[in-house]
Amino acid sequence: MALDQEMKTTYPFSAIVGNDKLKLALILNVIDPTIGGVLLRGPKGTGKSIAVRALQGVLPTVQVISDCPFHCSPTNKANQCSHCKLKENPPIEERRMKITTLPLGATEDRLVGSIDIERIIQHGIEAFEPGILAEANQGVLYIDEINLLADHLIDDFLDSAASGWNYVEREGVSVAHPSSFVLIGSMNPEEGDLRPQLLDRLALHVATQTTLEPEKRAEIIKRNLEFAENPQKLVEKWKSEEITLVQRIQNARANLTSVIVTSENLELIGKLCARLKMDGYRPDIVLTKAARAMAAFQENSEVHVEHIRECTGLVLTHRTREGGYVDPPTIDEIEEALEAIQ
Amino acid sequence: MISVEQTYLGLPPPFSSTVGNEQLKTALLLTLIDPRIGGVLAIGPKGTGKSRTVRSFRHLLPKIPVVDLNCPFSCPVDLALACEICGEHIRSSQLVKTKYKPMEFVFLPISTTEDSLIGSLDISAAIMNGKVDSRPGIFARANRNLLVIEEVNLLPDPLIDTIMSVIDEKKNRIEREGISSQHPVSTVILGTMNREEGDLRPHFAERFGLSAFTRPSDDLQDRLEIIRENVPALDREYALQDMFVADQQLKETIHAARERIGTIRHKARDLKFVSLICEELELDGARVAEILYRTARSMCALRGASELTSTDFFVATQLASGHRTRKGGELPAPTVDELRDAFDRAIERDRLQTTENEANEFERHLSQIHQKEKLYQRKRLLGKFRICLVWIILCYFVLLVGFKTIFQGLILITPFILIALALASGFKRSVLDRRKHDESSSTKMWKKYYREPPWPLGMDHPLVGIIGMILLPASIHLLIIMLTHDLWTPLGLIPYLVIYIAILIGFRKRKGGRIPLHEIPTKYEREYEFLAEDLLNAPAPEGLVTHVKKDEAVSEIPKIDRDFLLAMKSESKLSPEWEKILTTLISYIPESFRSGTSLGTDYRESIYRQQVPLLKKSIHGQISTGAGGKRAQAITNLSKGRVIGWKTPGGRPKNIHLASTIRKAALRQARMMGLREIVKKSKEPFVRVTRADILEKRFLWKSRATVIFVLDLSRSMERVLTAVQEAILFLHQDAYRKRDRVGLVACRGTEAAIVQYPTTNINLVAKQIDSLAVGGLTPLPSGVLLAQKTLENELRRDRECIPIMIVVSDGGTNVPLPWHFRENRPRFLKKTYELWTGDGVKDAVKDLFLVAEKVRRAGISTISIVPFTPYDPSSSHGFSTMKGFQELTRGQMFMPSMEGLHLVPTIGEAVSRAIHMEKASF
Repeated sequence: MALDQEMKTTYPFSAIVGNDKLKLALILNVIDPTIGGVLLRGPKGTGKSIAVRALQGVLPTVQVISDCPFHCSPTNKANQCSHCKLKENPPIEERRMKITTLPLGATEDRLVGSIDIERIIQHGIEAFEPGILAEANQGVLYIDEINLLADHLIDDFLDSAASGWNYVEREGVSVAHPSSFVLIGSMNPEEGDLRPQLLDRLALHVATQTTLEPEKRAEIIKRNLEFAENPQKLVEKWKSEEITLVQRIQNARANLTSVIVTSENLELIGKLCARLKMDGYRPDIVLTKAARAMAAFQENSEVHVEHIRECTGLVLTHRTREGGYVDPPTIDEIEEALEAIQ
Repeated sequence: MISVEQTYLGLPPPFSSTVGNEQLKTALLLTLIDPRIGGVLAIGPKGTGKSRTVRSFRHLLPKIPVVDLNCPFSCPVDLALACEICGEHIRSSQLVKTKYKPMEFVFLPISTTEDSLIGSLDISAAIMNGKVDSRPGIFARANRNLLVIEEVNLLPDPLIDTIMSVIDEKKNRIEREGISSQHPVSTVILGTMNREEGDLRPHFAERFGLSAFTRPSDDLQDRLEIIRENVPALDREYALQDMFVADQQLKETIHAARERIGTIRHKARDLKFVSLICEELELDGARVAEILYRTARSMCALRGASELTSTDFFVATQLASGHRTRKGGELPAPTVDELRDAFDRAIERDRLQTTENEANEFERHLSQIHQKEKLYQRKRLLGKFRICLVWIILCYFVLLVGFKTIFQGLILITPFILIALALASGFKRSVLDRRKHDESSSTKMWKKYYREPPWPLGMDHPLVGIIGMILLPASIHLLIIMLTHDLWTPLGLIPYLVIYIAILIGFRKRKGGRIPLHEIPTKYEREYEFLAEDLLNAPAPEGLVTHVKKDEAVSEIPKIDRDFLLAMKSESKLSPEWEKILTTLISYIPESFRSGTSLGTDYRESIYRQQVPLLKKSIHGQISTGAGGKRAQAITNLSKGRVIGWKTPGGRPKNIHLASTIRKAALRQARMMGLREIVKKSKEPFVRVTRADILEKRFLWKSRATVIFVLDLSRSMERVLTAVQEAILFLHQDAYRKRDRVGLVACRGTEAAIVQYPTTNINLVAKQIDSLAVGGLTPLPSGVLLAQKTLENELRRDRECIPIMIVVSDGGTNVPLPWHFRENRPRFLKKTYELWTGDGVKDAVKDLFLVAEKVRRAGISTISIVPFTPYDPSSSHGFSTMKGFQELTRGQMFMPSMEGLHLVPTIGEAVSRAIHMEKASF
C-alpha cells in the first residue's frame, strides 16, 4: 500500500527520458548500497534532481530496529549502535529506504547531532538528539549543489562517509552510531569544483548533459506537462514498467552475493587501475562492486568483461590520478588501457 | 567460512591481514612498545588504507593494570601518574587493588566541541543534587589509551591548541563553569591525513612521535587481495580466523618486547649517536633525539635483541623524521638518500677517535650520573655496616652475660635479638615480596631498580639507628637498674620492647604502601628518564668528536634492502614472531622512503628549493609564520562557520549557545541549592534559564582568499607563463593550507575565458597553464571584467572571502569590451575595428579603466604585475596603462627591478607578498 501511495506522488523513475547512465548509476547503488554513492555533474536543468526524487519510487525496503533513533539494521551486528547490540529481540520494522536531504544551510549541530535541549531543560537529562547523519543511516543522503557546501560541514561527514560510523563528541554528549548511507551529490561544475577527498568518497560519477535530440526534448516536455497536470495519470501509465523495474532490482539484490567474479576479471580490474595510475585502492573496490551489481541487474550469474567495461565510465572518470597531477581518464583512455591489457 | 565471518562481525579486519603499509604497521608496533614515543601520524593519499590499518590496530592493544576504583582516567598504581582520588587511595591503603583493563581507542571526531574535549559541568548532577561536578571529556578517556584523530589536518585550530597544551603538560586542567580540577593525560595519538587537504601545523605535527607514509602497492596481487577483502562474498586467499590467530601471536610478541625494553641498557654512545644523527640531518627541536632513541630501542626490543644496532637507528630515523621540519623549516623532510648520507657522516664522526677530548661536556655529564650511582652504592654499604655493628654489640653482650646464669642472660639478650630481627626484616621483606610476584618481572631488574622505602623515624641513617635503637633503650635500662638497684630486673626489657613495637608500627604506616611489582616497569621508566634526560639535555657535542672503543665501532652502515634483511634474518637466531615482523619489513624497505608522499609534494619541493635561496629568508619566514594569517582563520562576529565556543553577549543576544547557557543556569541553580541546603524533591527537575545565563555562540570561520589570475596571452608573455605557473605553485604551500582558492582567466583573441574556476586544487591551476597558447590580440578589459564577475560570485557565496585579482600583463591591450557600456550597445569587434589600429587600443584602454572603477567598487584588491621593465617607464604605453589601472583600483603594482634577472622568484615573491599584505590589511 505504501508503495502505491508513494508512486502516486513521485515522478515515475522509468518515465525519465534519456539519461541512461544516470539511471544506471542510481540503480547500481540501490542494488549494492555499499558501492557508496553517485556524483551527478552537469549544468542546470539536465534532470539531476528529478532523477534523485524519482529514485524514491524504486528504492527497496530495508529492515530497521523500530525503536532505534539511528535506524540500526537488525541483521548486521557490525553496524549497530551500542544499545541495539544489547537488545535480545528488537522490534523490527520493514520500511522503504529513505532519501534524506542535506540542505546547504544546515548547521553542524543538525548534521552530526547534538545535545537534546528539550530534555535537558525539562528533565535535566543530558541526552543525544540525532542529526541528519543518523537519519540517513540505511538510506540515501542527497546533497544538492554539493560543491557549495561549507567546508566545515564537509569535514564533518567525510569520515562518516568512508567508515559508516558517526562519532559525536559535542556539548558533553559522547555517542557513536552507525551512519552508512548512499551519498548522492549533484553539482554544477561551473560553480567550482569539489575537494578531491570528497570526490573520492563519491563512488560513481555521471556527467549529465542536455539532450540535443528534438524528439527527446519534446518527449521530456510532454511528460513533464502531463505530470504537472495530472500526476496520477502519468504514474498509472508507467506503473507496470515501474513495478517490473522494482522487481528486477529486488531480484538483483537477492542474487548479488551469488554473482561470481572470476580471478581473471579481478585481475583485469586491478591491472586496469594500476595501468591508469588511479589514486588509492577505492577505484578497484568500487569497480568490482559496480560490475557485480551490473551483472546482477542484467541477470547474469557471472561478471563479464562487458560489465566491467560499462562500469569504468561510471567509476573512473572523476577520479584523480598520480596524486592529482593527471586528469581523470577519458573513456578513450580507458578503452585503450583495456585493449592493451587484454 | 561464513560462520567465521559472523564471529568477527563488528570488529575491524585483523591487523595481520593488512596488505602493504609496512611502514605504518611498524610505526604502530613501535609506539605500542614504548608509548612515550608519542604517537603515529599516517600520511598518504586517499584510499590507501590509512584508516583501515589504524583501526585494525585495535586488535593488538594490550591490557594495562589500573586502580580498581572505577576511575574515569584509568589511573596506574603510581602516585605521580594517578588522579587525586586514586592517589589518595594509593597513599592510604596498603595493598592497592588493581585490575587489568584493555587499552582502547578514543575517537576524536572533527566536529568535537571544546567542552566535550576537556570536560564540562555535569548538568544532571547539578540540577538533581546541587553538585558542581565535572563530566569527564575525551581527554579523561584518552588517558593511558589511544587518541585517534582521523583527517587530523582538518581539525580546527582552537582544538589543536588545546590538544597541544594538554599533551605537553600531560595534564588536563578544567577551569570553567565553576569547576576547577585537573587530571593526568598521557596518551598515544594516532592521526591520519591526506596532504592534498592541507598540511598540519609543524608544531602539532611534532607531537606525533613518528610518521608513516602510505602508498598504493604496485603489486597486482596486493591490489587483488584488497579488493577481495573489501567486496563481501568474494573468496579470499586466507582464512580470516588464521589472521586473528596471527594477531594474537603478534600481541604476544609486543608483550614480550614491552617486557624486554627495560632490559636494554642505554649506552652513552647510543645516545650520542642519536644526537649526531639529529645534527647531521639538521632536525629541528629537542624532542627528536629522545624520540629517535626511544624508537630505536623499541625496534631493538621488537627484534628481541638487547643491543641497539645501526639498523634500529636507521628505521627509527626514517619513521621519526618524515614529518619534521629541518633547519628551522627551510628544508623538507629528508629523502632516503639524504638519510643514508647523514648516517654515513654520523658514523664517520662517531668513529673518529680522540682520547684527548675525554673530558668534554658530554663525558662530564655522564660521570656526574655515575657519581650519583656511586653515592647510592655507598648508602647501601652503610646499611650493611649498621647490621654488622648490631651483631657485634649483640655478641659482646652474649659474652658478657655468658658468665651469669643462663636465665638472666636470656632476658638481656632477647631485646637485641628482637632489634636484629627488626633490622633484618627490611631486607627479608623485599626478598619475600619478590618471591610472591616474581612472575611478572625479572629478578635482575628488581635488584637494579627496586629502592628501599625510607625507614620510619629517620632510622635509615646508621648513626641514628645506633643511637635510637641501642643507646636510647640501653640508657633507660641503666636508669631502671639504678632506680631498682637490681641489675637483672625484668623491667629493663620494657624500653627495648617499646622501641621494637614502635619500629613495627612505623613500618605499617610507611608512606606509599606496598608497591605491586607489575608497576616496576614504570619505575624503570622513570629511572631511565632520569638518566636519559640528563644525557639528552647535555649540550650537544658541537664540533667535538667522541671517543669510541674499538670493539664498539660500528661496521659500515649496511644498505637496508631486501638482501641485507634476508642476511640478517638468516644469521641471527630469531623467534618465529620476529621473523614474521621482519618479513613485513622486508617488503617495504626497498622502496624509496618518500615514495609514500604524493607526487605533488616532490614537485612542490623542487620549486621550493629552487626559490628559497633566491628569496632570502625574510620572505620565507613571513610566509611560513603566517604573518598574513591574521584573518586566515579568525573567530568572527558573523554568524557563520563552525561553532567553537561561547561568549557573553554584548547587547541583545543573537545566536544563543543553548548547551552552555543551560550549563550556566544549572550551575547557578546548583549553587543556590547548596546555599539554601534545599534538596529537590520534585521528580521532574528542570532548569530555569534567566536572562543572565544566556551565552552567545562564538564562530570560527576560515576566511580564505580567492585569487584570480588574469593572464594576458600576447606573444610577448610566452616566457612569463612558466614564471606565472611556478608562482602559482609557490602559493601552493601557503594557500592550500588555508583553503585559498585560485582561479585563472585568460585573455586572448577577442574575448576572455575562465580557464579555471576558483578551486583549492592549485596543482590543477598550474597545470592549466600548460594548455594555454600565446599570440594574438589582448582583450584585457574583458578579462578583468570576467574576473571581477567571478570574484563577485565568490563573494556572494562566501561574504568573508578575501577577493584578490592578480593581473599579469604588459599592458598592451588592444581589444575593447564586446559591449559598449556608455552607449549601451554591442560592439562588433571584427567589423568595427581594424585589428591593432589606434582606435581599438584607445577604446580598450578606456574600457579597462571603466572596468577598473567597477573592480574598486566591488571591493576587490588588485595586484598588477608587469613582467618586463620598460626601457623608459614614463613614456611606455603598456606601463602607463597598467599604472593607470593600478591607481584606479588602488591596488599594488610590481615589476622586476632593472637588474632583476630572476623573473621566477620575482613574480612568486610579488604574489606571495602581495597576497599576504592584502590579507593582513583586509
